[in-house]
Amino acid sequence: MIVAENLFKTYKRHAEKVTVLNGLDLEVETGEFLSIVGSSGSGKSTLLHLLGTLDKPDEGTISLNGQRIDNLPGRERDRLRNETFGFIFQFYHLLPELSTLENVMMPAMVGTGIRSWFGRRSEARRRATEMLERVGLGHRLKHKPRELSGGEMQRTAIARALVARPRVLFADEPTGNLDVRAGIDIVRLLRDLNHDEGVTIIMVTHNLELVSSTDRVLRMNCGKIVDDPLSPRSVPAGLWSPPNEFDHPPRLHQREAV
Amino acid sequence: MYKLLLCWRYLRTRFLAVVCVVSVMLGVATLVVVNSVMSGFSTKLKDRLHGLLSDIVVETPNMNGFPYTDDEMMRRIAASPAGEHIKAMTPTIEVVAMINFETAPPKGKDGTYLMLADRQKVTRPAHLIGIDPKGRAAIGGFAHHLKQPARRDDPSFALTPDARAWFDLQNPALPRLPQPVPDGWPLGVPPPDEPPDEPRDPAGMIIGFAIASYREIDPANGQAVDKYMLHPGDTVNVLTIGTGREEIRPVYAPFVVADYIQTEMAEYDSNYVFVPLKYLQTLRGTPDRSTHIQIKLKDFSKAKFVTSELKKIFNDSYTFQVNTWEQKQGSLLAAIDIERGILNLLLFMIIGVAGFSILAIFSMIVVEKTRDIGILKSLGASNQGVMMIFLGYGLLLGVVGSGLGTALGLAITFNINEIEGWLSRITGTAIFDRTVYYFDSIPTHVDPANVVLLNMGAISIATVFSVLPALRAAMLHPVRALRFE
Repeated sequence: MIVAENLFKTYKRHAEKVTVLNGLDLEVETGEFLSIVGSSGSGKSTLLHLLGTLDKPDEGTISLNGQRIDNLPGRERDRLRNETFGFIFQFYHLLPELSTLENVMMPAMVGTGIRSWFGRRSEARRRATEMLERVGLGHRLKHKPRELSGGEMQRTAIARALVARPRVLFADEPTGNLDVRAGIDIVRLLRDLNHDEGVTIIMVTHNLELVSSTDRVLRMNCGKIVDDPLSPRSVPAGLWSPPNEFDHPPRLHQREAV
Repeated sequence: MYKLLLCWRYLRTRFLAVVCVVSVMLGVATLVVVNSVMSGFSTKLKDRLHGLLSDIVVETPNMNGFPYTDDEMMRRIAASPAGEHIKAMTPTIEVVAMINFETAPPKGKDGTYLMLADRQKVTRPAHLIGIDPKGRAAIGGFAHHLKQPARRDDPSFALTPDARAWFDLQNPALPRLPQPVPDGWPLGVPPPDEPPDEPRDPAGMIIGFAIASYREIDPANGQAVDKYMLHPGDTVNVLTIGTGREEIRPVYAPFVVADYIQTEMAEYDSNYVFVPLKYLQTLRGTPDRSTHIQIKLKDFSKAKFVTSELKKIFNDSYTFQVNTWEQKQGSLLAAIDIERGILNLLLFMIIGVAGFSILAIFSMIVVEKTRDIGILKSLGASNQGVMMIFLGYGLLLGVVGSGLGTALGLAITFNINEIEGWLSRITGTAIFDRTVYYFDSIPTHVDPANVVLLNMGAISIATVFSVLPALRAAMLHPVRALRFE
């Protein structure tokens, strides 16, 4: 379970200070597939980066299963990102000099020293191959990223994010660079992985048509979760639609009670 | 493990890496070639300097020679604590002299000598050295400089048959007056047997090659050729100083050229003239007295000890001067070492320039790889790990560049004369003028320790210049790196 309390984050842009997160509170249940929506500049990606310890909040705390993670020393933060968290980005962020298989093996390589690598190499290769087959890329192991389509690159990124069996997966606009069809496939894949592997997924997106596959949707505005009177857990699945000025109250998705 | 993998992939896939490798390679190759050639010149020079100088020389500035006879001098030296370290000794005399000779007659169109043609008379100073050839050869550095191959195995002043014939041709026996016929000898009957001609055994001489010849370029083929002014069998008159009596007096004797000595050192080849020691001692009126004792050691590392022991037994430091060959040539050797040190320092700046190019190129690569660095950090790579990627990259570039540079440098060094010939033909000018250096080829000497040091220096420079970009990469903020465009 991830708990964020009273998060503040401010950036300096030129001589100006921009407050991106403004006292945000958040709770994410273990195994939940949460989507966070909001307009550009609402602080969605910043929230994801803070939760994933890629950045530090100016104020507030973040805890994972009761342990604070926002103030960890560098080495423990690195280990957390390697063993517990997985990341998927809008632009895939694959390493261009490595093959698909090597990209997916990268978390294992990062987390293992040279001496112990030779003992783990075959297991890491087997696991990476398994993940790639799982995402439908078993026939593309030796291809370089430039030889893959956008959807295939994103699948590779998903395989890489999940190869280390993380407990939490952060997806920052995973379909932002894909066409509609590919985007739907990606979200479906994430949903299947969420169901099968039990990994908690926090997805940031501005594509409101994709959030129907998730358990819960939160909306951000001006650095805060919008205080919606309807509890997200009370809305049946499939009934969410994007809020507009004529909708009151807005209706939210919720997967049926586990 | 990911660091090694990424270093290797970056090396193979980045064109800019090739530029870095080439710059290191050229710097190392240049240093290898220049060091090898300088070392070759230096080694050859040291060999030549050492060759005609023995390990240790005991000498006196007094032209009368040592106060003791040659045998007494050598007995005292052998009996000293230094004696057990001495392999061989020989006495020599070294004095100033003037020599005078006629140049060889010109050759006619049929190749024969025109004996009646005008010949040039040459008078010039020389450094006259009296030696026992076999004793001198035992000291080393003498016999193998002689021009006649047979004489190198058995050094002597004896004339070859051809030299003897040439001498006889130029110095025919004077016709003897007819002997008086005894009273009452019958007419028409041949007179009784006449005594045979007295044999003429002129003292031999081994003369410096540059005294007896000169080098010029043959216009027909552009090759350097040696023109001889003196042949074996020609006579050289020597005027030197006799000191056997109270007053100094000139002494004069003819010698016959037996052979040349060519050390490829202008200082020796154009000044030194070797004659028989005993003959010179007699000529000068100083029998059994020499001015130098040349000493060859069993192990040159004992030179300091031997020198100090000899100074103890010959403690009159004016009459007896004891020096190693290095001390005698100290300033020249020091000049060579200083020159080489300065040249190395200047040439190492080439690798310094290569280092700056690595700094610039790596800075560009870090900017180019900013997003990749963000990815690695999001996967859990530490700052230190990211830094090690780029440090390792610099080290790998240095290793590959040094390796290739060493191979290229050695290839050039071992084929330098062929390359020089090719360049000379293409440019039309002699890159290495053999009339200037009196070497037949460009001397080279590859010192493995020096090559290893060069490589270590180049690798160190490549690694050091990658530190700053590596630090920048390590300190990149992961979020800013991921968002970099």
